Amino acid sequence: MNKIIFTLILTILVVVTVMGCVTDQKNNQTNKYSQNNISFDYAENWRVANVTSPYAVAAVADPTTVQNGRPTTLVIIQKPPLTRGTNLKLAYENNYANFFNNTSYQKVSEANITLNNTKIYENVYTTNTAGLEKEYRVAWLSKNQKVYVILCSALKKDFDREQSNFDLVIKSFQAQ
Amino acid sequence: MIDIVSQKEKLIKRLKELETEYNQGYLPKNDFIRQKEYLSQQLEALEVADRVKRLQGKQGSEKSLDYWSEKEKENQGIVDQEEKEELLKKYVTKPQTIEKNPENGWLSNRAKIIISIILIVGFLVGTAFGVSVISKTSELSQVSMIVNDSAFPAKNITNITKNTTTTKKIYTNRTRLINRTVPSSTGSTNNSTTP
Repeated sequence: MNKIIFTLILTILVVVTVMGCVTDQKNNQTNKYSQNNISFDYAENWRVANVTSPYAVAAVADPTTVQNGRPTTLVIIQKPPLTRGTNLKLAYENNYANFFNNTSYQKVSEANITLNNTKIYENVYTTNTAGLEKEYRVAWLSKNQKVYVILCSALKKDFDREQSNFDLVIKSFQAQ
Repeated sequence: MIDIVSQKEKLIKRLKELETEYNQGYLPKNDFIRQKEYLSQQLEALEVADRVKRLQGKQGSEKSLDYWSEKEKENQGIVDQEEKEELLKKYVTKPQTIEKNPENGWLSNRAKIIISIILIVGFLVGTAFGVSVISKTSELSQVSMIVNDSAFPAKNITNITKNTTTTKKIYTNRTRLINRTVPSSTGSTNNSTTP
């Protein structure tokens, strides 16, 4: 009888432990941002941030990475105005024509990708400001004849680790 | 018994020799019959004597070969049995009966107490961890963050903000009108139009 009770308790403990681990692994829930005619998903532990950047319509950031009052891991959505006769490609090229000249920005890579039939121009660069090495991944895309720029940024040492969170925003981004 | 056996063997041998001599033609038929009857009678007499001795129970040294072989087998069996018993005594031990002692049982009271303590401590630690995670999450939701990074260089922004600039009329010494756009911000641009 004692053996049966002990086996039962042990089984319950093992089941609870395994379930806990599985639940923890599957705990990759996301938050949804839906304001200013745009919507996207972002990491569960991230929060909406106040943004003062030009043309910015939304920003989310990881509150655990705040340094000197500002988060280092963040995503900002910007919507620059398009001048007449300019398309996404021209706007992208114009922006980076002199972007890396005489600045602290250093280009890492450039790519054109297609995601769900949406052309995306992507630029990755680094910067070192006041000893703070940061890396940026900027995705330019067009939705409803409007250009949206998704700026993903993190400390250089955290950049690779945050790619999944950046991908989450870029892949789920929608504009009305 | 041994004498009887040897005599029987001798008589049987002699009978075989007699038959061989007769078959080869060395012995006449009358002699053969007479000698054969004589030997047969002797053989029969020996067998009768042997049977009588057995019936009288005189076994000693005068016992049949079957008896001795059976006796030898019995002795061998006894020796084997003894060896077997010795081996059993040496290597096979009877399982001792275990007395059921509550202190030395499968799950003693001490083990029960230890398991209970572990479960209680685990429950408390888990609860504390859960509470700390929940409070941490609620704290994070109240964090106010300000970001000002931009994908655009400062120069671009200046150019784009030209719709907020003022237009001044500047007269040159040639008295030609030049429309110069001067941005209101610190970054100046020279988007001048010349005729």
